[in-house]
Amino acid sequence: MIRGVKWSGRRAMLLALAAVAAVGVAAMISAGADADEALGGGTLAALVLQLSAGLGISAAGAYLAWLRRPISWGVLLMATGLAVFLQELPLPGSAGAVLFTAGLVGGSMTGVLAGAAAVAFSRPNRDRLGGLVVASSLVTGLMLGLGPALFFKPVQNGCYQCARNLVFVYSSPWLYNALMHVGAPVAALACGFLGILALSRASRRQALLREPNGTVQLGCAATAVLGAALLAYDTNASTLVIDSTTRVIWLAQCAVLCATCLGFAVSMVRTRYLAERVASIVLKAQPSPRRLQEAMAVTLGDPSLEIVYARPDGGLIQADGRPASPARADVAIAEVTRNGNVVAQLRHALDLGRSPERVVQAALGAGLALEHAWLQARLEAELTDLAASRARLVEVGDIERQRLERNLHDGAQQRLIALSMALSLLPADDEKIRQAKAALQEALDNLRAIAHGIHPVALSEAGLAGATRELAESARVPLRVQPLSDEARPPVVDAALYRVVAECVVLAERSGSFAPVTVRIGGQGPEARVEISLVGVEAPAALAALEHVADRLAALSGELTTMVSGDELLVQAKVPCG
Amino acid sequence: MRVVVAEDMTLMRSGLARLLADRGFEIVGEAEDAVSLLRLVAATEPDAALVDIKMPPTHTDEGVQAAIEIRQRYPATAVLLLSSYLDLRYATDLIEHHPLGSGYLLKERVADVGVLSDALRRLKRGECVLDPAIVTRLLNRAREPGPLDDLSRREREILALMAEGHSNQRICEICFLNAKTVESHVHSIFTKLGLSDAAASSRRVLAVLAYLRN
Repeated sequence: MIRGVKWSGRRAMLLALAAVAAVGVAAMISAGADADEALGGGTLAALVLQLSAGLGISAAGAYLAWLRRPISWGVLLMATGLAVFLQELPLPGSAGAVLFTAGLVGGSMTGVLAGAAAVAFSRPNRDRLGGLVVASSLVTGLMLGLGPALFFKPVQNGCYQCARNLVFVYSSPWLYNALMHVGAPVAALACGFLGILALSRASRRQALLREPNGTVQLGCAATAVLGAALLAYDTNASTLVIDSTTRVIWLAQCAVLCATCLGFAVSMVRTRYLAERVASIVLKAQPSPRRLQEAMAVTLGDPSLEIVYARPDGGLIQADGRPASPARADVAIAEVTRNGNVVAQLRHALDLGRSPERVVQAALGAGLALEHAWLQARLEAELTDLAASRARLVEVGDIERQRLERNLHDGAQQRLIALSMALSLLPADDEKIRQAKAALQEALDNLRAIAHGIHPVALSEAGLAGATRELAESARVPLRVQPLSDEARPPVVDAALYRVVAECVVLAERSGSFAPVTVRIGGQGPEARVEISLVGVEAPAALAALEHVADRLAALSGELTTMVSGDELLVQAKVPCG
Repeated sequence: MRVVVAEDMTLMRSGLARLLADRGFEIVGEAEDAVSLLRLVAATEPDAALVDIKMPPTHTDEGVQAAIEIRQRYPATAVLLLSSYLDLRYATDLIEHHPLGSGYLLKERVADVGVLSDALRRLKRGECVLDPAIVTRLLNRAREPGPLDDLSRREREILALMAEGHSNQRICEICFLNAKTVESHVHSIFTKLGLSDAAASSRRVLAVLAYLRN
């Protein structure tokens, strides 16, 4: 199958169109001169109708070829246009053998070629089977169009004014009749039926009928059916009978072709318009919703235009997902809906509201891009919400731990101390009381350690630096705490960074190397940072142990990185704050 | 000896008062927050105030702040901070301002018969009192090799006692040593640690603590 038409092919198409037009004009002139022998008659209206049908369908073919659609489409439509003109040629009165033969050959071909076109249009995909179907329908069309002429001898059929049949092979009225009145109509009917069947079985036939291809397919199929009726009419006649019935059928065929061309043109224009609009919007909108807003503002001539998007919960957000501010009093609001749900609000200048159809048209044109931006904004908003809720969870967890720690101190510990005071009032030399006191002290120590593990009180009272200093007083490995920044940070940030330090100290304690751990607390302004340098700690073990503190950092949009250099493992934690 | 007790928890407060009364102290007033404590001290000018660190309204370091103010405005009133925490931070906040007549004990220590009354008496004499548990933790913390490793066992023992705020005379009593020996130990310790001139000063505890912390 030929894949598209090259430049020379395009030019050839234009030349072919010109040739077909010339034949058409000639045919109309001769039909006007010999109206009785012309199938469509010689009235001006009939001539104009036939000329329009032939030229229109040829032009459609040429245009499709120009657009590099399957070459069979262009050729078949062009051929159908030519066949219209040939079929109109008055046979007996035609001057010269060439015109006579052309008229004879073309006389039965309009329906068959239109049918072949209908089949070809039902196979828009250039697959093998499609190619085969189109090629065979083309060959069948040509054979059946050409066929009858091979066996037609004018004189033997009683046409004494007729010129010579240039393609005559063998005189056989029976074969001529069989091909003309049975073979060709059956082929045309079959093709037309195939075309309609393909349309009716298409999954999106509603939309297809509004599209150029579908229009042509339906029109050609109808033309083929009418052509079949025309050829099958009066099977006893030796040639194509010209009476009021055949004339009506023929003119109806031409009318159908005209309507097809008109439909084709209209849907082509609509498609073109749609394509241009979508293309321009998509071009303008890519890649950012902000540019969509700019493009819309330029298109509508309203620099103040603002697009805000709707969240599922009814709230309004900006393109980047942040909450939108309420609309000012001096703007008008146009809501864009989709399936009944508000997608976006166009906030535009009040005076633009005087021509609301412009806003509507703009919103329609931007539909796809608007929806894209809407989805993107919602996604951004959801991500922001998710990050915020994660951070809140961490914060709530910290507060809860702090509360637990305080409860242990204020509750359990105070009671144990009160108990030990009560015990102290008892005789001190009793061994059992001495043992009870020792057990009580152990319980107190234990409780203190648990409370400290839940939340070191220094963290909330003296910040990260104070808590780290305190950690250094109890750690089982030496801690080198280097320039401590006492800068105030949000408690949740301090807590997250402290857990990194504490976890690293535990790692160092477990490693058994007793090498000093260096802790640097730094970071200025919007970023808090700690760096811990460990010696003798394996990186994989460290990563596994630090996973939950890394999660905690990530929840605050921070990050944990580790670096190995020699036997030193550098753990760095960063959290944006402020 | 006239004493006021500031503690927001009734159970603790009344227990403390009873315990002290049993030991022969005169309880001249009880307060449940820092403001009423200051008012009480102003009114009674006691020999010592027992102050819980965490009191209403914020339960952070009201007690420490009140203690600093008491030591500043009423030098005759010694202050003993009571805390649930081993944290040295609170103690140093007070001792840095007023090394004399200031103390810091863990709450459970009050149940020990002698410790509380001993601490109060030492404070009244103008000594400094620091909970042995805190000093032990500080002395035993993991640290990189340094001069501390050069101290003998006896010297470490004496260093701990100094950190707890004991005077040389007390150290003599506790270790059953004569004054001269203790003095030479102290001198040796300070030389080894490079803390030459703080040996006899009122800021001795601070110097030792600062050394142990770093």
